[in-house]
Amino acid sequence: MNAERQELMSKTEGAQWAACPILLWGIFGTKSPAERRFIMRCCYAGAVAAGWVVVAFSLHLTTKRVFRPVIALLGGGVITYIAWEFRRYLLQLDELARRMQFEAMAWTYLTGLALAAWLGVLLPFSRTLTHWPYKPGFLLLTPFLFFVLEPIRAAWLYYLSRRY
Amino acid sequence: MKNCLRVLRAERSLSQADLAEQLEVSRQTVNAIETERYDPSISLAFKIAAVFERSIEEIFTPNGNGTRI
Repeated sequence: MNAERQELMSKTEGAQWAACPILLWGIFGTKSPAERRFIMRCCYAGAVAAGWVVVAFSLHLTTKRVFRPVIALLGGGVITYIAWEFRRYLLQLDELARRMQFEAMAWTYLTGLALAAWLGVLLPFSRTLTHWPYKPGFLLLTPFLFFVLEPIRAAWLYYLSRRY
Repeated sequence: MKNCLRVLRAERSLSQADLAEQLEVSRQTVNAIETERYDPSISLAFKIAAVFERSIEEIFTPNGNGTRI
């Protein structure tokens, strides 16, 4: 019994956060009820968005002016819902996990600012060289920012998870 | 901050997971505290002290370095 205990203790010591859920989902992979709920809700939201895109394209709704705001609003609505669920997930974390999530978000914010500043310089510059039809408007789309910033947050979270 | 959490845990034959369950934190949090990579909050320090029936000062000793930022 004592030997089993010693073995168990030596196995758990030095254990780190799992890399896969951090890089894929930006969470720690502890399989807690809060994590499972967050993942499920994200999947539901993603399925609704994907279903709506399929319906919109199959019924040619994107060509009709009246549906364009509805399509645009759905993206914002889905991401707002995911953000709300993420907030609920954060409240369930223990203090170190929450600290790491907040640190990752802070670093993501700073990285995003730096990225935006560099894109503002590099894109017009590359346009003059390559004659690429640069349209800064696409940078304002919320889904674009979400899909760029989420991997950055996951990368920061991974880096922080190796530190603690 | 230095601590003797590992020694106290070994004395009671508790695994990191057992202690984490009692403290209502993750196993990785216990590991980070033990390896002195993370300084716990006051409330968690009180919980740790209660589990081992010691005072906070007996478990944690300041060494001038806080959690890295």
